[in-house]
Amino acid sequence: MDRKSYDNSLLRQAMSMERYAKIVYDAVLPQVEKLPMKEVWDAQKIFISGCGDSWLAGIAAKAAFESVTKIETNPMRAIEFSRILSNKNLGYSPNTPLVILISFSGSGSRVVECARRCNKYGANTIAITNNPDSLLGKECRYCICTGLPKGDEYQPGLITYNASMITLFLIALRIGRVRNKISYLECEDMQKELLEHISRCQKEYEGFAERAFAIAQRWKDLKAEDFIGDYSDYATAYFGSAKVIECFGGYTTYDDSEDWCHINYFLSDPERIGRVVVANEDTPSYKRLKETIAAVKILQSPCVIISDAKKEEFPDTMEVFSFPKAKYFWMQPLVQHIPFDMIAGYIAEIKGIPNFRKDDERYAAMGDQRSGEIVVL
Amino acid sequence: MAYMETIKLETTFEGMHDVTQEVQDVIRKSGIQEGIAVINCNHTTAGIIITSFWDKRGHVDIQEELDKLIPLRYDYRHDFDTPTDAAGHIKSAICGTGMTLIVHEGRAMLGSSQGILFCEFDGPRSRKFFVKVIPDL
Amino acid sequence: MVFTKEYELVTGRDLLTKITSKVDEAIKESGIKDGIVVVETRYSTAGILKISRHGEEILDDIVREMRRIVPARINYYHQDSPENAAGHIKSALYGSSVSLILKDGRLYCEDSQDLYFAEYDGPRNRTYAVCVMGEKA
Repeated sequence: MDRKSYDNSLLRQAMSMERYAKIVYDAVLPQVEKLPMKEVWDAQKIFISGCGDSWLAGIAAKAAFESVTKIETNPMRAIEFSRILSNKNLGYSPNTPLVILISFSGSGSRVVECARRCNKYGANTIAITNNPDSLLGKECRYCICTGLPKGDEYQPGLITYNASMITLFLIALRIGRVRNKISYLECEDMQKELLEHISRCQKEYEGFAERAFAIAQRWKDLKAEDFIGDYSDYATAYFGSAKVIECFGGYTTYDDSEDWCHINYFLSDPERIGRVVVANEDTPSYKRLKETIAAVKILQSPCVIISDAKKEEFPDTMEVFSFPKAKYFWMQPLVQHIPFDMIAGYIAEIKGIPNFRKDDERYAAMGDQRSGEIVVL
Repeated sequence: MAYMETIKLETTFEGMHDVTQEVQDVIRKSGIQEGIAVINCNHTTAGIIITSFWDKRGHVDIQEELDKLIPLRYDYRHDFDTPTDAAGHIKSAICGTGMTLIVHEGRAMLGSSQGILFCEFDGPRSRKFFVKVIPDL
Repeated sequence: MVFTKEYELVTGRDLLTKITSKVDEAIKESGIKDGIVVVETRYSTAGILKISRHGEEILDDIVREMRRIVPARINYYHQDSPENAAGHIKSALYGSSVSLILKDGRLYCEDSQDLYFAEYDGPRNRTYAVCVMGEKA
């Protein structure tokens, strides 16, 4: 099989990540620097919300926010934030909490609903969107535009996911700097490292694509894909799982290392379930992840490991995608979703399945149901 | 019989809210002609003062001068909340959170230029203060 | 003749780094015995200070007073960060260069004062220059 004839959107996006990262970085940095010092100081708590990949970007950035700003940061599902979270959490003190709402289009009903709820109770809001003229952009107190060129290829989401993460990281750095939790020198180094880490990893992608294509051929007829990751790497696991569904409508699950050992471990036909584990050495739960990997070995599941550790750390039966170490561990979610994006893209292409089941008109109906009625509680 | 009422208000950031009329209304409702009225708010980042009510720009001057004396530094030792909160505690302590007024002929005895101002040192917030009117024995 | 030399240093938060020996070194290297020495930094959140040699506690007092006079407020118009905004003002007020008199191969202030590089938004990588102007003996 010739890999070149199985080109696909996710692969193309992965290969152009470095270029888009620079575009987003240059567009976002000057906007972030305008966030007023008083309001940055008034934020006693941070919420990050959005739908789908946007919410995952919040989870991916949790470690960054907590390590750089030292402020409690809660990524929260849009439906929980807009309909379930108690009012007591909103606007209990001036300009707090700081609520960051993410939507590429800026038109998703649920995030708009979140913004309106914040306005009603006095929380501060920042929109991250590619469309500042959107409902979300107008509803939030501040709007940061990710600056991606219109009309490029962004489906299934990958570049947009990265744009959200880069923007979140830059906001975290701004907050850390204003609150003097990081010095000018550290801030400058972290900003530089953001782009440099992406560039360093980009060099690996040609080799990754080769291996992803080989794995896709072996994995295309598996029953399901099961993803495992902790803390901010949970976002990487969940994102991989989302790509399985978006790309080829596969069956998939995701969990953290601890609960996986309690629940998903017992899935039947383990030798027909592909397992993907994100296990970085600096993750506080690294030891638990290695125990989980040992359990996967006992079950004889085909397994892909995504890690910044050496290949020799893991059983030799497993496929390891080794990433360069990030100078700041919280940057890893930026890049570590790439191997499975490639695998999912190739499986869809090999099986001849269009993204988002475009071959079946029943799925088209979701277009209308996606937004739903806006309710402000 | 003494009489008490709670007055609620929605403040703005560093807002100076004239509450003279509200206080006079409570005294009138109490029906007490001679005695004292005690005003107090239960907040630590707000204050109640008497100043001229004529020129609102003068109120901005008060906030600005307080800001010079007690700047919105981020390095106060009190770092539980925010710089505005930490400075607000000090401004509130200096201005005081209440006062006692003399009630005569059914009204608080204030000069023709004197107004009672609720000073917000943080905000916007939902605030309240209490007025108790006590008749002479 | 004119002799100029640039030095690098890594600063810390609120750190006053003694640079007298570097200035002496530049003077020696220049071979100039009589003239004027200028020490300057081109950063706008740092400065050069000439400070008494009477005990380390003076340095602590200076840092504290500089912060008291120009507090790291959150409401400057310049909205980079409180330390940075205050740093610009400190640098402008407290000076970013000093001129010294060189006589018979000795600094006029040599017995009583030291030269310091003052950091107002550190830690950072900084540079400063020493320029010696005058005549070789």
